[in-house]
Amino acid sequence: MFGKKPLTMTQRNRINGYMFLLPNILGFLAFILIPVFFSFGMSFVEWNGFGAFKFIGFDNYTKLLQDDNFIISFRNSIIFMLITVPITLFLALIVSVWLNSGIKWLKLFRTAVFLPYVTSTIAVAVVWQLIFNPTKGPVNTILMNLGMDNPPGWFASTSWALIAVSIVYIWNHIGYYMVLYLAGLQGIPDHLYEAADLDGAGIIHKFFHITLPSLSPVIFFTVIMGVINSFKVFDMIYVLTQGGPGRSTQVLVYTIYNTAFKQFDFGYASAMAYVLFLVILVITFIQFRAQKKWVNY
Amino acid sequence: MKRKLVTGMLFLLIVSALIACSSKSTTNESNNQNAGSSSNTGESTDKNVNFTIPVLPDDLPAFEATYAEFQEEHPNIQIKFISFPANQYYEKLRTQLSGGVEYDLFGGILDKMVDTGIIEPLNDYIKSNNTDVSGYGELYKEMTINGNIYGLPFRKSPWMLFYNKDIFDAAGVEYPSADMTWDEFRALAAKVTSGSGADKTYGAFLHTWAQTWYMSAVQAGATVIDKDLSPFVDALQLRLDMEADGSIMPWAESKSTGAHYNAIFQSGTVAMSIIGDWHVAQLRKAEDEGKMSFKWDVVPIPHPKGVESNTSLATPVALMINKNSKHKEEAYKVVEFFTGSKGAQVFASKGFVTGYTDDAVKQAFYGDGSRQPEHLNYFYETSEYAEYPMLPGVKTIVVDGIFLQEGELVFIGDKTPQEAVAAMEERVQKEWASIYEEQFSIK
Repeated sequence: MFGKKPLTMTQRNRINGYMFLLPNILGFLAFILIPVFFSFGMSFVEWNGFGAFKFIGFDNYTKLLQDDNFIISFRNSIIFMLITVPITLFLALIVSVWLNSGIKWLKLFRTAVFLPYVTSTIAVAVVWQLIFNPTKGPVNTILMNLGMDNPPGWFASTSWALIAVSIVYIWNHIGYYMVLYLAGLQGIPDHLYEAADLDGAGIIHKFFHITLPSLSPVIFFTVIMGVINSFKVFDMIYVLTQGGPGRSTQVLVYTIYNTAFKQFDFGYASAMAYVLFLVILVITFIQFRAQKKWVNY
Repeated sequence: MKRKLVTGMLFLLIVSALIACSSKSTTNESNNQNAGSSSNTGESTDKNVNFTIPVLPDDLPAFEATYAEFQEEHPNIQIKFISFPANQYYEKLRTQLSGGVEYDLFGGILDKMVDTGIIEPLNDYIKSNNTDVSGYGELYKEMTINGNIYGLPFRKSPWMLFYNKDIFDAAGVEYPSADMTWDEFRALAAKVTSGSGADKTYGAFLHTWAQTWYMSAVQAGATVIDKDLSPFVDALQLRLDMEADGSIMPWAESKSTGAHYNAIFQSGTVAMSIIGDWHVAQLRKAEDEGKMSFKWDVVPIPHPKGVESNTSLATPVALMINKNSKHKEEAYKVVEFFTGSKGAQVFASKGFVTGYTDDAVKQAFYGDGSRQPEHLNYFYETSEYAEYPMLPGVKTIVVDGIFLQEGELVFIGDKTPQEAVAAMEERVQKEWASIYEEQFSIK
């Protein structure tokens, strides 16, 4: 291949380029692409990690439809997404607009909001478990002092546990989206606001007619990432509730983990993972179609 | 031309990636063989064998202590014991075995490993070596899966009632009796409960495991995979009643505060605690470190009416041999020694109730009598049922899944015991029996 004629400059540059990419691509192939294809194949077999694959066609997928554990965790994942994504993004937007309004101590507040995101989930979980303790925690103590006789049971109640986990998740993730919004806000040219000022526009008008439209590409990106991230939640559930009480906080990825690494049913777990993948794919696809209507570039 | 070059490069990338991958896996394999099982290839009669044996972290010190004695009898067998964190033990062990690491032997609970199909049945070895299995007692039968013995137990973790003598003395209440029904236990717990808020002393502590509420039904002969689970209604009701009495910490509070049987008993704020034999070693350690100084003792766990006293639950932990081992005879020598009388004596001296029992083992367990608890003898006088049928999936799906979840719903007030048991019956059939029942049975 290299013997016939000397390489041109472009060709040599290209080889150099690919050589730089090689380590990354190898890692991607070995740890992501090949396992992704492998697990797709595995979703059609029964396999506990040992012996030969037993091909069972679509059995793993049809079994999903009658499996309460799957249906419950699927439902929980959807509810979790519907609660966390809008609230996280809304709060992150409010906070970033506030931080961008030229307040004092900007760096301090920005750090304070971002800190939860870079704090270890385990530490976060332990603190929130204390805060939400149904009998002795500060939240319920305050609620009882305010005259509430039966404050929520939080992590110890089937109707509140998912909401409690959502609150922790939202608090934990606002910082990440805030940083993205801040970057977007700083990219909005000042002259737009100046022109609006001259025309006599108020704060509210400026927010809805300048800030939001200019920020829409960033919002679009964060909605997609937010949905994907909320479906991927695992660590917080694992530490805070282990899916309980009952099965009230069992989400998809937690069930996948349990099926694969506690029950050693790798085929079935792969089928669940591919359903999750399909759901995320469809939602993302719909969002990409819908963005034409509201995203300005 | 350009496009050809690009495709050529991509092809090269993929091929080199594949080569890299495959060569990686081959080197791994040879490494693993070194780590796992390799021996010198010479065919001398007195050949040296190296074993690397994974065991649960709690068992590691006892295995290492036993190894010193083992070496005197079998100088040709070198063993290195290793361990993984208890939470991920089986996850890691199975992943390694599945990936080609060839451990010749490993420790663990049978039902977590038998479905792999790589466990060597020991029936023939037991026969040809004339191994004396009488010392393993009743539990031996419950370890028979599909007619095969897949491992021999080095300890069996029976449950016992631990109590804080100082609390009983202060309350002027007689110590728990060795022959006590669950109703008597409930009344006694209420008697020694006192205080409120931060000064609360609970009469008893039941850890947030399903076993702590379901054991009374198992003592009476039920198992968690029965088609009819109605005996478990009363078991659920008992815990509910005790929570209503205020004599045990409510489930929800135990869960949300992460209350742990070991820390809470050591703190001296519970009078009685029902837990396994390993708690003896934990409490002695705390005494050695000066963390606790009150007097304590053990009595058999309470029993249902009509069931003999000191009927307990146990979970045998065993040594198993890999079917693919190239040194099975030597491996069996290891199993025989560590689970037999000599190994059991070392384990017993560390405070573990061993799978194998004879007089020498008992003597090692009792020690010179200078350490608490006084009534260690109860541990060796139990007759026990397996905590759950030792079949694949039962622990994960039934005990830690269905029973834990449905029981929890009763204790937080979402379901009545009857509703929960009805749900358990349905779920056990659907989630466990439909997968495993035909393949595996105890016999």
